[in-house]
Amino acid sequence: MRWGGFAGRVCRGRDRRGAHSKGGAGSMSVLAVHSVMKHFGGLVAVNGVSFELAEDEILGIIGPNGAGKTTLVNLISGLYLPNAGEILLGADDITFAPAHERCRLGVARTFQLVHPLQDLTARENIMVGALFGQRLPLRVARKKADEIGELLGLRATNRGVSNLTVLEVKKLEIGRALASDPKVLLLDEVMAGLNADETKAMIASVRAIHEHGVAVCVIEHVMSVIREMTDRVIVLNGGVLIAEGPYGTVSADPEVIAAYLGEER
Amino acid sequence: MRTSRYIPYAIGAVVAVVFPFLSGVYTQQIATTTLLYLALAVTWDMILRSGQLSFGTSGFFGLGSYAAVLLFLRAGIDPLLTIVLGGAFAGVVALLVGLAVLRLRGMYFAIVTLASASIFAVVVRNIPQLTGGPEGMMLPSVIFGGDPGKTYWVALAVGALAVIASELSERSRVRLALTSIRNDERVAKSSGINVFWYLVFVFTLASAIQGIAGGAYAHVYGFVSPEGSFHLNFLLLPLAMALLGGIHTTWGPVIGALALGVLGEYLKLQIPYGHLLVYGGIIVIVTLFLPQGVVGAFRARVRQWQASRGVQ
Repeated sequence: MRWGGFAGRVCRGRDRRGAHSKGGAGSMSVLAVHSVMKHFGGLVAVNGVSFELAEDEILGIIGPNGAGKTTLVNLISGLYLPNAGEILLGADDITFAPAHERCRLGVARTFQLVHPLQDLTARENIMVGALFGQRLPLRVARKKADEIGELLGLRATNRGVSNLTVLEVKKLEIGRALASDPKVLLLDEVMAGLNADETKAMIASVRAIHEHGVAVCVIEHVMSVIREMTDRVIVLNGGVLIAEGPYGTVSADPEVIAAYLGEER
Repeated sequence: MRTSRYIPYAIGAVVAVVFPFLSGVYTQQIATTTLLYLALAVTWDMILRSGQLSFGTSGFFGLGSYAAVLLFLRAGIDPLLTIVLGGAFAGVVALLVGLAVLRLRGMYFAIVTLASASIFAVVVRNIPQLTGGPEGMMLPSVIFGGDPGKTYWVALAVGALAVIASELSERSRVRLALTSIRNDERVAKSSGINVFWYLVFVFTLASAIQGIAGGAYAHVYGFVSPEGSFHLNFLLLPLAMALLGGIHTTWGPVIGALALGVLGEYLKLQIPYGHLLVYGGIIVIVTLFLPQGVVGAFRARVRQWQASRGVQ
């Protein structure tokens, strides 16, 4: 049973942290992407990208606009199916699994353009993840939603979502993803539109989630966030993976600098 | 607090049960027709809650009518049982149609359901050996000898079935699934909701109840015909009722059906076909000025009032 989720995960997370060094080579990979390709008509959006995500890691995915970052997330979460390649979640081949099944297996995501479910309350927004991602009964899902709301610092979750601030909406999005008790959490630009203080709060939230034993993938444009948060970074440009490693190494890579300079700066 | 939620249900049930004892034959007849329309309005709205607009209502209504009448005439099955079986038949057809077309969305889904409804009518018209062709079929005897005091209970059962199905789905995870799908299908999928399965489920369930309403209608009025049983009124009136009362709730379509059922009957007496004119007018006015319907507007008022008093 995956319910019992949060408390259980805390322990398991700690166990793992004891056994392995953070993000180290000895860690098990929870997500493995092998040479995936996706093209839309003549446009190749993702071209033979391979990477692995360790189960105790925060991985950054960076690259200029149009590099294929969101497409990659869509391939992993199942909104798109790849034209070639393979995606493994632990031992499960999820390359062609429907999106809802991937969620149940443990892949959760947020969206770059956040649309909370307008006709549900904030609590119900979070409950959706627990009800369908974990298939918990209503009553248990409600309790779980309240726990997550508290963890993320969301108040008055029995209200509608139309009056939430940008930060609250983003947290709600993360809460819904988290409620499905994921092994892998894909965050697509959760910091966009936040001010410095909010960004700080959000980094703390993501850290807390990670401490609970969830492997995290972050797409992000704000480099200071990437530097502060991630153990490792992969860089995409034109759908191709051009660099991989700790942020310090990658940011000095001439090819990475050229990719960014060539684009807009 | 918990019991007070059930008071409206109790009042509604008592009124529905006491009603036929206090009213004449004519009123009972109006109530019977209104309750069958009410079932159509509520089930049409059930599908709408998933964000899908079904124009198949009259089609499944007609299928249920024909299936019930045929099972009664050709197989000699008890009329009440044929009403249920007619609904089951409509449900099976809806399941097959749903499996085939519920990958479509929005306008495309709406048009395909409209087309399938007319296909049913064309098929029925063109196998006269079985269905009586363009003339349709008369029943040698209507259900309960046509006693409105008894047919009322059949219609009440059908109306209650629709309301119960709707409320059960509103009070369970089904509401959250359908609302998620309506609000943002990508989010729904990525949160573990099997979107296709939920759409097929609600479409099949709602269409089966529409078929049951059709079977009941055919047995009450004693005939079926391609024009009559698949008439567009069985789509447009429920639609007007749900819009007037308020969509995405059980009680909106219920209130809309009761209001338009009674009003329609009155108008019919004043001006022949005048009721249709008024239905059309109501659809226009409601969509312009009360897009959430009567129930929706009322709820918004209550919420405003609560907010002004600082009630959580």
